Amino acid sequence: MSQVDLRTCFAGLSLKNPVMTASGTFAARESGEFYDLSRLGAVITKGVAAKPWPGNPTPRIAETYGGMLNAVGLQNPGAEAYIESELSYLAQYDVPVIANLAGHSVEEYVAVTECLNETSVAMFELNISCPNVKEGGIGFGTDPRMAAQVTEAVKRAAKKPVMVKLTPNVTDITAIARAVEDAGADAISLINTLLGMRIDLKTKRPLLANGTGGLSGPAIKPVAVRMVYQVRRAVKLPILGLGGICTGEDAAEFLLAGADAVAVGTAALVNPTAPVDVVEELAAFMAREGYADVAALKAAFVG
Amino acid sequence: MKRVIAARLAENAGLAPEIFRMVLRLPEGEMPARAGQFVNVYLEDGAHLLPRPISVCRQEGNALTLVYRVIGAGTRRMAHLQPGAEVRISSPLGNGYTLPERGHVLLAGGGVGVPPLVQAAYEAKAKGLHVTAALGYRDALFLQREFADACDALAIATEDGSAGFHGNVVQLLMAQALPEDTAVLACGPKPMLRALQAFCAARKLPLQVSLEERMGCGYGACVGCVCKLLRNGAIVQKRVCKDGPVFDGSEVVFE
Ligand SMILES: Cc1cc2nc3c(=O)[nH]c(=O)nc-3n(C[C@H](O)[C@H](O)[C@H](O)COP(=O)(O)OP(=O)(O)OC[C@H]3O[C@@H](n4cnc5c(N)ncnc54)[C@H](O)[C@@H]3O)c2cc1C
Ligand SMILES: Cc1cc2nc3c(=O)[nH]c(=O)nc-3n(C[C@H](O)[C@H](O)[C@H](O)COP(=O)(O)O)c2cc1C
Ligand code: FES
Repeated sequence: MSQVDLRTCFAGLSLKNPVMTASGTFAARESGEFYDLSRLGAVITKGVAAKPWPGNPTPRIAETYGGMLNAVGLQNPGAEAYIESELSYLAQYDVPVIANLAGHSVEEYVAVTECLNETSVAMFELNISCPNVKEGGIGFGTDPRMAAQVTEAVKRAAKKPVMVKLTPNVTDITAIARAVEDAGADAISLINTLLGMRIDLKTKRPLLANGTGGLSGPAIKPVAVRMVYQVRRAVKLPILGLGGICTGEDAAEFLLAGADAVAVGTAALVNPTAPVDVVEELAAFMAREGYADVAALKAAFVG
Repeated sequence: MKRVIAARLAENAGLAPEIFRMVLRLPEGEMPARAGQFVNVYLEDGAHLLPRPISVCRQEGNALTLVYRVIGAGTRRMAHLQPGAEVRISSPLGNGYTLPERGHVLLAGGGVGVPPLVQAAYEAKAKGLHVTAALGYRDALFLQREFADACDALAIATEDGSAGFHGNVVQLLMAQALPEDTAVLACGPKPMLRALQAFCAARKLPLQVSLEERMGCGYGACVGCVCKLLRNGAIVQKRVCKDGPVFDGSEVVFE
């Protein structure tokens, strides 16, 4: 087969292909030094709050088999600096920008939403799933009622589509997915990192200054695929699947499980051009297997 | 654009116990590195996915030299690579040292902070600057020939007293008179850099230090590697990989 059509419609956005960057593993200038950002379906920027956050102390990173732990703690320069620096820099590229929103409370999530309403951002991704910030994030993501409450409030304030990012650190992810669907979310992304820990055998202390951190990378892929599969059967919303995607074949696995688009995170730390490599490899895989477009590949799932 | 390239391993041999020198042949036309910059070495196996940042020790034409200490599983794997092997590395990253236009340069290095100062010595020499190196080692010396070749003066300190001054680099410098127009470029363990900060502040000498931190990406995308600077009375966080690894020594907050 000669040509594969990767064009994807995702919650109202028209994308060149279904591949995005995962929040926190992409920076416009720095990633843009390695590849042309316009080749991606969309870019999801690092978590941003209304006001600057200092993040956690270092070390923030620890290596693990097949992945890594991070406890960056959503360090970010605040919405104003984000607009002036990251967003304005991204304007030169032909790529939709999805802003990942952070907050400690419903009010803070609403505040950052309002800060970004009148910008070029194409969609919001509501991060209610960060395991590295004590009082915020994950508290909302592990309780269906609170997840619904923050989704509803942001949805009411937002002038852009709202995607809600789920944490895998729950017993039943479908309950949270249904709650945010009922609360009016436009899309769901999953998964965020799995809570993990490593201990330094020399010092007998945790390797991360924060103690625990979020596990990401190829090690978590089977968990992510399983959760996408479960959520696909629980809700109608478009799904952005992520967690351990390193190759085009990995991306195809998520599409088969029920994702409508995918994001590449940790793989971009291990290989700076991973997101665009995944685009190429996905096209090559589909050509080899004889799928003309993403819908045809998705429809091929037998399960 | 920056990229990840497949370099060919030309040489990988021990210089001292646990210290290795790796010479890599770069593809034609590959990026020249500046002193103080580093490359990410990608080991690419399941247990060691993250890049190992290693400073440029020397780049001449398409030969890139890295000198590293085996401290863990990743650097041990590097030490086992055989000549002829393909090694994936990034383009040179980070900002490097800024050499003064004239006057004296003092290169202060400790342990595996010594290697990046080789490139700095050759660049300073090429610029016609007066170059002194003060190097601290645990015990065994390495890279002596290179410093002897590039420097006007060379002083050595060893912790065990087996060669040169018995003590550390800062103690060694205490005993020396330095010209007023000396710019100090340093790389080494944190306690050494902290002591140098006080030393240079007392003598009003400009200091540049190269810092280390655990890295996720090594190119500025993940904000995993921050350090703290005191700038205009406020604490600011900077990424070691992208905004550094070389920083103004008077601003760094050592914790
Ligand atoms: C900018 C920069 C330049 C460097 N230049 C040199 C050099 O020229 N020569 C040299 O011998 N060493 C250098 N280092 C330190 C070197 O990166 C580490 O020794 C190496 O990554 C250890 O890997 P490992 O797998 O053997 O150790 P492990 O402890 O098994 O590594 C586990 C993880 O921790 C990270 N890590 C461990 N120690 C350090 C450290 N000191 N700094 C940063 N990350 C670390 C590793 O990269 C890996 O992700 C430099 C570090 C930085 C940040
Ligand atoms: C260093 C780092 C920083 C991250 N920061 C964010 C963030 O700011 N917001 C967010 O929603 N997810 C964040 N994540 C989670 C990723 O977006 C992603 O959900 C997770 O890492 C799983 O995908 P992966 O295995 O492809 O990395 C971060 C992950 C890493 C490794
Ligand atoms: S290691 Fe990722 S920003 Fe420095």
